Amino acid sequence: MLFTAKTRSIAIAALLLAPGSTLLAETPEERGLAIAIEGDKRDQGYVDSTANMKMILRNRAGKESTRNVRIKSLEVTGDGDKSLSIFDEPADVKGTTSLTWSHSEKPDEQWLYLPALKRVKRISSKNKSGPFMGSEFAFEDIGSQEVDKYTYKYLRDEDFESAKTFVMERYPTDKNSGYTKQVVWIEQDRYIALKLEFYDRKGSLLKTLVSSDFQQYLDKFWRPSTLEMTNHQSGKSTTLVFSDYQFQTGLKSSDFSKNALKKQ
Amino acid sequence: MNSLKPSLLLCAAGLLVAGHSHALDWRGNVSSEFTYFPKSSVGTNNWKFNSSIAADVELTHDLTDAIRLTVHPFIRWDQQDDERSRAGVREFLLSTSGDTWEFNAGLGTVFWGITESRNPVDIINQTDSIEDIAGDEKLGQLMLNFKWFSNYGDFEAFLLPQHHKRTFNGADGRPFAGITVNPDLTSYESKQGSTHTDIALRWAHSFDAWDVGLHYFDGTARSPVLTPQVTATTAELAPRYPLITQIGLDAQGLYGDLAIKTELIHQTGNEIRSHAEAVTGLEYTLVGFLSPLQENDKLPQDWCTPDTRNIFKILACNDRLDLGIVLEYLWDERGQQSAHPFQNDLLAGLRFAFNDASSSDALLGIVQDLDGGATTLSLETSTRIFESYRLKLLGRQFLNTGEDSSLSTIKNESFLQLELSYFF
Repeated sequence: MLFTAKTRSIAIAALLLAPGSTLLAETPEERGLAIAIEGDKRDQGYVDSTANMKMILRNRAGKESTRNVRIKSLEVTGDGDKSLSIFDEPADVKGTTSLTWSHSEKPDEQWLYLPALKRVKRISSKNKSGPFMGSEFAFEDIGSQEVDKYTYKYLRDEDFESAKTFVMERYPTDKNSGYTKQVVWIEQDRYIALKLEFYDRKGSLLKTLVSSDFQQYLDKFWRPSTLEMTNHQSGKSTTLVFSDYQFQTGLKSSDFSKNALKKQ
Repeated sequence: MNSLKPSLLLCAAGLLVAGHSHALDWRGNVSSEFTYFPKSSVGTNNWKFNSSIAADVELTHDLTDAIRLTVHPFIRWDQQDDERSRAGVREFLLSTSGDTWEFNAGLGTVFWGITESRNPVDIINQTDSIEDIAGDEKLGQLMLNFKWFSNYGDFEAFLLPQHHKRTFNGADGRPFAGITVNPDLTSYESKQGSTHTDIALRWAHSFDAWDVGLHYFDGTARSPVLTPQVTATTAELAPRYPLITQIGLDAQGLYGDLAIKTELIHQTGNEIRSHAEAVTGLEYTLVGFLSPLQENDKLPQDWCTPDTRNIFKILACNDRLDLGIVLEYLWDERGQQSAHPFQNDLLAGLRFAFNDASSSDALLGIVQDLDGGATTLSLETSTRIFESYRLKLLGRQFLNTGEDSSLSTIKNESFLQLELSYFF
């Protein structure tokens, strides 16, 4: 779910067909897109995954509150991934489950199951910039990262904490995004995002996300164990800690249907 | 007072203590509630302060990989109203399912309703009106339920062999309607009484932005006809449950931040007047509605720094606050002869979602009877405290009820209720 991505064949075709798309004559925009596509390609074939996510919210005074969420993701070939988030804590929302079908061309679809009401509610996916569970992560930060959700511009190569990285800017294509721009540091060996800066609608630096403790699964897929999001404007921060990552667990498409929501 | 079914409780207790290879899951809460009525009531029950304690736990246990048991007992003690002090089981349901089907047997709860103010399409379960004046709380319904999920939509059939009486406040309960409903005087149109087997069918499907449901129900009404019975010493209402046939539609369209909702039913029966009822309206959400103030530099620069202590400035700088505007029209073809007070009424509401670490929210609403009747004002707000507790404040004020046939006896009642719940 987090920072995984899927390619759309059209995006590749556009790159291949673009005039002058040789390495020598590559524009910064073409190079940025090529890096995004390569990163996406390296994450293909994970099939499905499950993980536990602990979310620690910290206010400016350092006061913490915690949420525990179980996450299940399903790779969908030719479209965005499907994901389920099952909330275990805080206790008053225990059992609440959200289902997201992300799409590369049309808007994502989202449903919420409220156990106290035994009701599945379809919810608007337009609200991308809103905070996820009161944290410093917006819905759009936590959703499936499709190549087509941004346009790109390569900036430079740079060393980041002793790793060689590509630095590029990406611009959300959705007009409902809360950001004008993101700057991303991608490690050159593994094509994983180590750091992201988010710029708000006024163009000011809003948040920084640092991903660390990457683990490799199935000898292929890299996943961060810790994500640290700092909001520079409010002084608040949120840490996500992932554990018990499992891949190719045999989840089916029917596990990600509206009718399966209450069975989680 | 309902008796606690001992066998069900034993099962629930057994589930808790028995060694098991499959997961036992639970969610529940213990809550204490304090209610204050500033004015005296019309009845003899002139108390102004009430307290109540309740516990509620929903247990789910996978008996095998394919069969799940859900047990949901509840218990409440009420300082003033004996009718409200009781224990029971809201759910005791065995469920099994495949990729395209689901089967449920036992006591279950089913919600089809989508509108905010009232849900006429919810015909499966009886309303537990003693628990919650808004009618959102339901009593478990004994059922056999089969669902089939296809490309043409979800098809569902119900067999409902046992009717549950509606619960009502006792003589000591408030808000007091001036006259009490005596469940002992209950009668049924069906010769089988409460054991008439009702049937229900439903089809639901999604079309792009629209979720649509159609249903058919044939059996004993959930809503009783109340007839006054006067003896030399008492005046009470006797509930009678007629046999009805109901067809209904529920539909919700979602266009970005705009949701359009409608519920429509038509009822016929020998003992009731054939009629239609509807609730229709919309909810429009303004996401982060104060954020343009900051983005367009409408606020002084020093207001929105993290050091600000002024509550007004903090509110103005809150770019996370969502505002939902709710408008609904409630209608009943029978007009003033309706079995409920919402024959020609308008609901206007404001819903605030603070999106903070405590998941704070608030709902302000006004229901106006357009036939010159009652006005109901309501306020509902809640926030999380100490990680596992929720604090909720509920206020309601009834005004001008004199002209409204159905609410006239409530007079100008008002109350404030504070509820603290511990969740586990």
